[in-house]
Amino acid sequence: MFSKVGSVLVIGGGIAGIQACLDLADSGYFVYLIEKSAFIGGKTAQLDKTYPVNDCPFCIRSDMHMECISHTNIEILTLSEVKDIKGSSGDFEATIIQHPRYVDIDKCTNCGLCAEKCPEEVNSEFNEDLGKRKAVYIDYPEALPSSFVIDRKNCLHFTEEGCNVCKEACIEKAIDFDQKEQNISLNVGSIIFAAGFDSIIPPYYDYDKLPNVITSMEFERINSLNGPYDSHLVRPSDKKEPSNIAWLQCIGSRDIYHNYCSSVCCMYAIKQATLARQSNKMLNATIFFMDMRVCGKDHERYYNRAKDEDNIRFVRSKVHNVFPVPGTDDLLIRYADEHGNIYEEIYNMVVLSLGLEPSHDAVKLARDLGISLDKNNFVETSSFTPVNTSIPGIYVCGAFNAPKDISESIAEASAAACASSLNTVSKAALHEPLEDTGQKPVPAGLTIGGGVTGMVSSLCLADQGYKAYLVEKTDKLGGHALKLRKTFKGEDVKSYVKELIDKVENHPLIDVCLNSEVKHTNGYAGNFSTRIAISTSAETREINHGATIISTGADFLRTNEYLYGKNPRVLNWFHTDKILSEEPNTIEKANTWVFILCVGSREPERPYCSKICCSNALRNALELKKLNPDMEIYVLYRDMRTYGLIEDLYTEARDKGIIFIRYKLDSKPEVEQEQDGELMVRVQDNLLGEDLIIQPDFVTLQTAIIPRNNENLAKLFNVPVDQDGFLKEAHKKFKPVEFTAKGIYLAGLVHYPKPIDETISQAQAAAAKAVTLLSKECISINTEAASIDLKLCVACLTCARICPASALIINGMGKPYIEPQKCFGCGICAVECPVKAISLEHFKNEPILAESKAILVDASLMSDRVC
Amino acid sequence: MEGKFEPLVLAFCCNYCPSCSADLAGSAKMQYPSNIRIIKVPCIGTVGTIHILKALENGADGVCLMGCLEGKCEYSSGNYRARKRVQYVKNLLGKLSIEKERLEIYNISAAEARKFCEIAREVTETVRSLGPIPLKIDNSKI
Amino acid sequence: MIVGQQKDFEEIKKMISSYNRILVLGCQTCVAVSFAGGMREVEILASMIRMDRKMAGQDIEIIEDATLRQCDFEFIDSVENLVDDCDVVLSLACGVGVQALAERYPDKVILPGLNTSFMGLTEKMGVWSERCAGCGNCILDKTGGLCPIARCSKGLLNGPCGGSMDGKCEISSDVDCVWQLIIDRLRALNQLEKLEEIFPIKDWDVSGHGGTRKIIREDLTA
Repeated sequence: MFSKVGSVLVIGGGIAGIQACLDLADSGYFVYLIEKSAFIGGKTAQLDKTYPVNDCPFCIRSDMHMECISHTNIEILTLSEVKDIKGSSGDFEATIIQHPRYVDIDKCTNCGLCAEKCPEEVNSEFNEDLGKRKAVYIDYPEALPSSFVIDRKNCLHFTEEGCNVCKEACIEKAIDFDQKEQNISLNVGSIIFAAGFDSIIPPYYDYDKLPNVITSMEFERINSLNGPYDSHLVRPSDKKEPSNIAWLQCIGSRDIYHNYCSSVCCMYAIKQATLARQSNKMLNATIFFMDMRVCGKDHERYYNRAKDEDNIRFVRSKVHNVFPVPGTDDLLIRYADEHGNIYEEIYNMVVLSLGLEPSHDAVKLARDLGISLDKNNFVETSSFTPVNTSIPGIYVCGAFNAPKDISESIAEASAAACASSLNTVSKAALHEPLEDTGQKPVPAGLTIGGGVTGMVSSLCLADQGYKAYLVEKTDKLGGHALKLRKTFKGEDVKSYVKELIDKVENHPLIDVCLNSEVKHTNGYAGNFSTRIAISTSAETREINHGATIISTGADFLRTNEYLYGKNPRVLNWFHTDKILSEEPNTIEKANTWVFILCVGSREPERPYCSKICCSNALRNALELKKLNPDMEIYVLYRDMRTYGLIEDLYTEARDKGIIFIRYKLDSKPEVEQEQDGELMVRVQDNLLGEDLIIQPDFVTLQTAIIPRNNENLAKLFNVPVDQDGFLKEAHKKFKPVEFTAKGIYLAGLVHYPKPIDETISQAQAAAAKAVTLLSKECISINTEAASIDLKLCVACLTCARICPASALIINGMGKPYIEPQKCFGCGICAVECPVKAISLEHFKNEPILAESKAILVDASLMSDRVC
Repeated sequence: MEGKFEPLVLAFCCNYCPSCSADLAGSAKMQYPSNIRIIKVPCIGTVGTIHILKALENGADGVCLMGCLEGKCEYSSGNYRARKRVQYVKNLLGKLSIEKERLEIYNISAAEARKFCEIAREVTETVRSLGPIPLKIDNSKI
Repeated sequence: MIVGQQKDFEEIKKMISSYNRILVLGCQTCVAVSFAGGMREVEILASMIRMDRKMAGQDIEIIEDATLRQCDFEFIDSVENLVDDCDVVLSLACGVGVQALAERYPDKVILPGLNTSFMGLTEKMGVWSERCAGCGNCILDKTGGLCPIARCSKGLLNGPCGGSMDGKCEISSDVDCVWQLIIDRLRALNQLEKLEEIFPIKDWDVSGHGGTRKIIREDLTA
């Protein structure tokens, strides 16, 4: 038996908490998961589909829930709350209160008889009060733990004494009214807060009075397959199909009470409108928004599709009022357009896109523990340690850290798992498959790319005791961060990078290979062999490693627009950074400065947002204003994408008198050089409807972040490239740092443009994933791999030509060989093999044919078919 | 034997999305015709010409393949291969004077339980209108 | 490699119409690689034949098997029992295999299920093209490794004809003019002078025009 001292406590059983648990448990740590409700899954479980792929999170999500429930290294405490935490990093004492479920989880078979018989019906929280449930209930049939729960507040046994209907109905005798509240004391090494968010209760638009003004989560439930209205898109008041719906954005975000952007509402509103139009092709869907903040991977494309193909109407306006239309259940919306013209429109239903507030209970607990929170009550973290709270040993991930979507939460959860594992001393017994290769994974990771991402992943690996090889193409570590000054929060990047390089170079387990490039790689998860060439010598090096992390970063666009490269005062973002740090005189003398955003981003040939330009421009604009308060600064933008907590910068910039002018893609600003060499910027002012002429001293272009030439890299590692040229992860939502191929991970800008804090959390996440593999006692056999009968094989090469995993190679004997650790087990080779020499253990040709025949014979006997 | 003709349709479902949508339809208690019998396969690209032919030979009145959405194949192009294969087999059916409409392929995502049910109904109705597969020898001998 | 193509189903149907016990025998070498006669295709063809018969309300029994090579008697011998057991053999081997079967089993009717198309290579999955005509007198050393006999529509030996347009053959714009390719390749190899050599009239005797060809290596014969 192992000691559970030094295990990890995860607070919150939503998607982030579950992911953190799984990574820790897979790396051999014991985890307690504390969930306040009766079921795990959190808010994600209530969602219908997820953007930007519109696929159902159902299968992946339920897999994750199932794995979490059944993992030997995870103990889940539902209906539990943390009352107190004492001690310090490495030795915390947590007091947990577990409320009674009144149903024995082990006995309950989820048959539902209890609920069928239960006389007390109340509103279902899972369905946002739109549907009903009984006092004994389960959120949805597949909810885990797979057991009903009795809601004491409403159960007649407690409220009116004596009702025993459910107890009598239960065949398994699972109902136990005598269960008592438990006080549980846990000794843990570190703690992860994954408490998530609470939706804001909308104080506007008469939400409480008008039944057809609904919240975004209510819409999510209505449109869900297991929703309250049987997955028919109808409105609450009369259950009629609406023919037009309005979405109102920024409800409880970007207002005086919430000076932040909730980051996810633009995308989910587009998703909801798109799905609504899918279920009712005649539906008019209108989204009223202020700025369209669709900054993540494939988000812009999703927005464009909604706009151009799905005919969703986007109106840039903050809606003043929503009124009931007398005599109907409809709603009248009054809004002003950008020019101040007032319009009124009637809608059947109005959806309020609610923002996210940090979980109220968690805020209280964090305060009690003395964890620093920011002014909005999100946990205060540094961009360089994005998952560390102010108390050592306590970490945070997900929406309690800042508003963020599922994929970022998942990456952060893995990062928190990685960071927290450094404080835990004990390792639990590893759950291993019965069959094994008897081969240990090579305890080393290879990271390609020596920027911040690569350095952070290497450090994470090395700090956990694994050898870390760091391959960098140039002659020094640091990458683009060497040219960056400050993060959006104002932290000094230069000193951070310097310190990081120092740590990496002096770590005994890190082997830095400068001037090096990967030339060849083979092997499988747990045992790769990679050859690198060193450009400064004729030498090559062969590195043996168990996992690979790709973090080769991205590049910036060298544009030919706006006189870039032709006039020395048309700058790129890093020129501006340089002037800010080195040339105070230049700044003092400058009277006017123009920033142009979206240079090369969000264009037809590059339909994505580079994500970091808005914040970088505003940070620099504010610095300029600070150094020279008299300077006139113009920011020419298309949508101000200061998502999440970056909104602060936008507010501050406007307060400080920075002038914002919005331009459209079809009327871009023009930069000209006058005869005297002065710059002139002409931009169409949307509000005034006329051209504005600015004569700036400098123009800063926020040029797009573009992928490096990833094709070769992709071919080398057999990983896919997405349509924009970045590397394509296994799943946009749920597997942000993994590839379909096992043992290879990605992090940082090679995945998509992102700010430094997200880069660092991805780097930590990739390391966490690598550790789940490296920590295995042995490399498990891929039982799904196909096998070849070499007696039949004629080496026709068909299999090698079509294998999607490139797992088939032709060996020296001229016969194909299947690399078992690479094989996906898909069976495509088996079906194509012209001599039928390939078979899959789990999918043999004969059983399938037999199954089909059995089904058919069986069916034809049963049915009264006319033949 | 007089009676209403109930067609029998064998559905090969990729173990990823389509099987998920079928399970989801089940758990959401959505109705789809019992004429559809499902065989789950690791990828729709693994359904070979022979699997389709044997299904028909053994008495199925129709066969449908359900793969993941275009571009969403877990194994990169299994569903694309399957689509081309279905065309090929339709050709073979033509040579046998068997209606090509007895074979169809669909792309479906994990969440589309409703679409799954619609497809199931559509396929059943198509095959019902075509009548029993014109094989006049009893299959049980083979 | 010998590339084959399955005969049209109508033709096969007609050939076997009077038989009710058929051995469909594949060959697991060349024609398997060109997806015409391997075990995979044997199963598919057998299934189609059965369905066809069932539609006509007739019974049929099909035995499905394949030999490693049908062009070697030793391999054919291994299916002797199956051959004895059937009314007719539908061979999915190349013409060599069909004849080998016929020679080995003189009392049995052997039918060809394939058209033996050419000697060629796999350009990519599912695409095969001709490369060699088996003329018995190789000249590839003089033509930059590209064969004008197999690949020029006219089999010209001394440069292209007047129908070569933009590198394509006049028979179809999809067909490369092999003489264009030859010239391009020789130029790249810096061997254009090879084109100055005039080919004399070719000796077609060794190409089969002198009767069935046979090679005997005395040192190997017993």
